Amino acid sequence: MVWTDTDDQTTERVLLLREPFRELRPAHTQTVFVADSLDRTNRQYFTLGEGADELLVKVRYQDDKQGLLDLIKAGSKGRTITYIPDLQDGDVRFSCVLIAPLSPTAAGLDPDRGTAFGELEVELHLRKTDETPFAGVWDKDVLFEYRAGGRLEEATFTRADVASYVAIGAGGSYGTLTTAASGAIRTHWMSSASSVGPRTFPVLLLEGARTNRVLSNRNLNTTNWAWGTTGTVTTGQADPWGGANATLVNDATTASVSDRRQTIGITSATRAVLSLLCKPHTTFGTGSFRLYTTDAATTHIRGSIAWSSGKPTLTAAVGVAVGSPVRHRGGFFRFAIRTTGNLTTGNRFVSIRPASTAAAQRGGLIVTGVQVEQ
Amino acid sequence: MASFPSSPIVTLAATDTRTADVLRFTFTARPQAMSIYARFVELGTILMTTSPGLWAISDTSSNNPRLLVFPTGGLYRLHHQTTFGTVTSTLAAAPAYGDTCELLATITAAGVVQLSQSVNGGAVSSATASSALVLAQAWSGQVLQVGAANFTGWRNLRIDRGVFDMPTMRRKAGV
Repeated sequence: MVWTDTDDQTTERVLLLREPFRELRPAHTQTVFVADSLDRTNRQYFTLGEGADELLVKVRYQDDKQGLLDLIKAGSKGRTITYIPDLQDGDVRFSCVLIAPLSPTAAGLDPDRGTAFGELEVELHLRKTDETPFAGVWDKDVLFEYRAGGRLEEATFTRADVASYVAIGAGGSYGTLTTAASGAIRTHWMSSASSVGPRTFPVLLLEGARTNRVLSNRNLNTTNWAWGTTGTVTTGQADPWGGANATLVNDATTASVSDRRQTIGITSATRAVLSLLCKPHTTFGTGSFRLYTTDAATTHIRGSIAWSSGKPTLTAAVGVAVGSPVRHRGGFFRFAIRTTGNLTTGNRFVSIRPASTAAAQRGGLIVTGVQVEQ
Repeated sequence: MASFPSSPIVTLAATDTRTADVLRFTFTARPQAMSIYARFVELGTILMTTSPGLWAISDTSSNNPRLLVFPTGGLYRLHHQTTFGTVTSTLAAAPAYGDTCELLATITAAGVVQLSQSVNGGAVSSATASSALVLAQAWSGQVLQVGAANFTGWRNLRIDRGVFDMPTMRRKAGV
């Protein structure tokens, strides 16, 4: 531990610790006022600021007795005391103020070596000068640690707009799509790749920039969409955001195959991926989603979805399925298929067909979140 | 180039663009023997043809000297670069979209780097270790960058002083 004290004649005082701090315990101090109603049905909190994170440590086997006392004297005068866990890596350091013990005080004898060798022990209560937590101090060999859902207050993060992630807790643990504000880091819940079960672990979701080329991607009853072959659309369906922004696309006749489609622009000669969230209507067939040229000559993506007891089977007849269907609240699944190769620039149709061309096929798909990315 | 979907982007009357997440930490440790354990859900980074790195220790402009893992040719590579040269260690297999991937990057006191991988808790496979490259006195900057145009669901990231194997780093990370 090092410090400077204008009352000293040296450039810097140093207390070499015989070993790293022991018995490290985190602490926090904040001005908090709490009031409980008499019937305990209401509780009010009033806090001032964010408080300060602190650290309690024990210095053991200290044979520099005057040095230890001078450290406490410097701390009692509010001098900055810097803890360097490993002198081989001197840039890893913690600038602190001493909360306790303050003078008047006396150091104790180390319980193991005090009476035999006169070594001292003292518990120090430290606060960083920036009042942030003591990250990485718990083990001197830990240089960095992050676990999903953990603290990121000291990190630098930017994202200039809103973004989606999946939260749990409402609508069951299958996941509710939620919007994160601009600049908010997303804690996103997932299940394992092969599972359609509840979402059981959090991740820190980081993504690059992407553009969705589909307009009105949740309301398929706007003028951005049109019928290739007529069916019916009904908006206001419950959606995986917990709102009512999904659209029922229904093919009620076996005489034709309804096709709800939108013209989108492919702006770069790269691959594209088409994704959407959907669930079967009460009457359902084998629906499909497609990306194809506006003259219908070439299909780039064709995915068909067969349903059994609410569980889907995705078949990528054209293109490559990306991952397995991902379950969301309300029985919705998210599907994604990419093109096998690069596209040429120009317009394409993105199309939803709730039922197939097989005999007696009819039914509906409740659709939302249609997305084409490049 | 989109070979995989990203999180849903809601649109109305126009197309909409979601900008990139960029996350950085201050990392003050000097170049030394280290083990960097990363556990994440693969959400497309491995499929990117250009990427600034899954993670990188450098300055904000990714100058030398630096240490980073990035995708190349559909595989993850560990890259140690100083003003005196570059050494790498490249895996022979890649995770698929949606897989949980564990990458362990080690660098010795002699600057030898090696990358190891386990996908969905399977057997650990290790790439060929590089040759030695003398460690620089300092990285180009005190920045640990995690995510800049990548597509990753991070579960754990831990950096320890010293060279450890995958089971040890899993235990240290509480996995």
